[in-house]
Amino acid sequence: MPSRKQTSDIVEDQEKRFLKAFEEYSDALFRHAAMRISNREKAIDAVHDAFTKVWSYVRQGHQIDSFRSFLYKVLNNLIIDEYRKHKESSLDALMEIEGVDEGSFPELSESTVEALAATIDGRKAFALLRDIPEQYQEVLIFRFVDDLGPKEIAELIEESENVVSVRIHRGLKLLRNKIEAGIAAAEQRRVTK
Amino acid sequence: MKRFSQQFNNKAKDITLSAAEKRELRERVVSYMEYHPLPNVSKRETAMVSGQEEHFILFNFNKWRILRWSGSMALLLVISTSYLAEKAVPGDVLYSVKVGFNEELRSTMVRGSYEKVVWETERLNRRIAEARLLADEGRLTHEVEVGVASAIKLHSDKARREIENLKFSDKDEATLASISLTTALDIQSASLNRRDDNTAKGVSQSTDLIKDILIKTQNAELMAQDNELPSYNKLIAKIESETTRAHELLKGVTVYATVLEQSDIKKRLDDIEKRIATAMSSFEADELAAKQGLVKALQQTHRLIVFMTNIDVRANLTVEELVPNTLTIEERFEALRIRGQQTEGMIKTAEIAMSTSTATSVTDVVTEKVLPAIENAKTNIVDLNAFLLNANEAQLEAMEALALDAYYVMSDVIALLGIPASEALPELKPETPQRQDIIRIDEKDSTATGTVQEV
Repeated sequence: MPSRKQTSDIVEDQEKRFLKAFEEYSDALFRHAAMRISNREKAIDAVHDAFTKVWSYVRQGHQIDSFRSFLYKVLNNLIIDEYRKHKESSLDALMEIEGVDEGSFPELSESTVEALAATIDGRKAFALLRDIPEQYQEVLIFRFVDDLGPKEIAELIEESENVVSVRIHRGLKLLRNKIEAGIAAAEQRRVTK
Repeated sequence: MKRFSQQFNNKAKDITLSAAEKRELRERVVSYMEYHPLPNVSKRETAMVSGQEEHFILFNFNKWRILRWSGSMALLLVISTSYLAEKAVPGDVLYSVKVGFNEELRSTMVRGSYEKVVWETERLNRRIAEARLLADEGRLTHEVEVGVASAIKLHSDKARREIENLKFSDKDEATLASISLTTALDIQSASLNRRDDNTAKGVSQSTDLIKDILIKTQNAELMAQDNELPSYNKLIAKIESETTRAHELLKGVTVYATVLEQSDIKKRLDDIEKRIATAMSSFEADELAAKQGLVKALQQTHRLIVFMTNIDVRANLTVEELVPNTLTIEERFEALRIRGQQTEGMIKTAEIAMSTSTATSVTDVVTEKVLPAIENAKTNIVDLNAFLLNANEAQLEAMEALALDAYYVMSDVIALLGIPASEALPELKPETPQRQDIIRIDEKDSTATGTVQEV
């Protein structure tokens, strides 16, 4: 059993680590939330809720090795809850519409995704991000904004790495299609004028 | 991809918290932390508020742990008190725990009327042992003795009630239980009598009141007993279990009993086995005799068990007194030969005294009485010696009576002639290891005449 001094030190250490995590990750978490929820106030609330939930978890006596991944995990769940309040669409529904199952894709390598990304304008893709389904937004933000690898993303959203890679690939393709459709529409308007 | 990532990321970095938003968010989070502090912090802060932080020690008060701990302590307390109470005697603080809790608890756990009789007999033995201990220490006051006597009556009454109940369900068991109770009462009564005889007056207190109640209880039990004997099969079963127990106890007594004591007990057990074998073999011819023999064997087994288990009884009575030695045919022949030699020795002494009558001032009246007696004894001895040469077992009992008669006659002659017993009896060397026992039995048999005390 730790002594009184040791107990006090442990408590102070946990407080310090938690506040340090706030300083380090609050901006990134807010950015992630704001991009997915599209409401600044709600994004701030989501980040606040993520921190308070993690703090409650610490209070229960649990030890957290990596605050970063844990905070992202909690925030992601909060965002999903928020989506469920307003949207009924799901990835399954989307797949049903497209008539394809994620599991039918061969495993996608990082180079395949890289090759596809190289063909897309990042600024235009960013502007069109909200026009693609949430499931793709989620993985693209994790991958290109939060700079997480497929493995980390897979752990956060509790899917396989293959599913994550497929979603990234599909998300990028959707973005490229939308960019190309936008370019085509602009050209059409120009010709019409 | 790098270009895409950079472009995408640069655009994303435009989305950021303003300084005010971040400060406000931090304040909200910190405020939440303050209102929901870590568990140990709240205790520490409470201690600090009281200004006596250094005197506080933080414990994790878990009510289940406290309950478990206090439960364990209570159980330990009950067990240790109960254990200590077993050694208490009347007047001790824990005596009421012993009688009112330990023994009553055991009483509730005893099943079956026969077992209840055995348990009440055990309680009765305990009360007597306590009284004996107090008497030895000079602490047996009249009040305590009255208390012990009433307790003995209470336990014997309870035992009797159980025996009466048993009569309705199993008459044989009732008879066996009654035998067990009367044997215990008999032994305790004999032990107390011997204790009072052995103890110097003034050193120890007498237990007259307890002895009286024991005798009354014993008489009442004998009066209540039916003359019927238990069935043969029940007797055999009970003897089987009791002798097994006795053999097991014999193995246990090797720790404290001397080799001689162990040999004595073993001899008695062998005698009991022989008695049982004899009874069993005679069952077809004479069932009643067989049952009587088995009852006797059962009583002797009970007595041996009490001797081995009750230290107080062992201190006051010898195994010979509890279970007299049963002689074999060879031993009986040897005892008869010794008795004949003793009688012959007395005849020679008496004849020498008569031939020198001037020195011993033997009157005519005495001579008239002594001479026929000597002649009669001589005739008996001649017959005895002739019998010993043929060694006919069928006449052994009759010859034992004849030899005993001659022995008593000559003892009286020696007394009439005024010759000291030490001069009258010849010095006999024992020929067998059992001979010492035989001589002791002779002494016992002869104490009525008071003639062989010096043997």
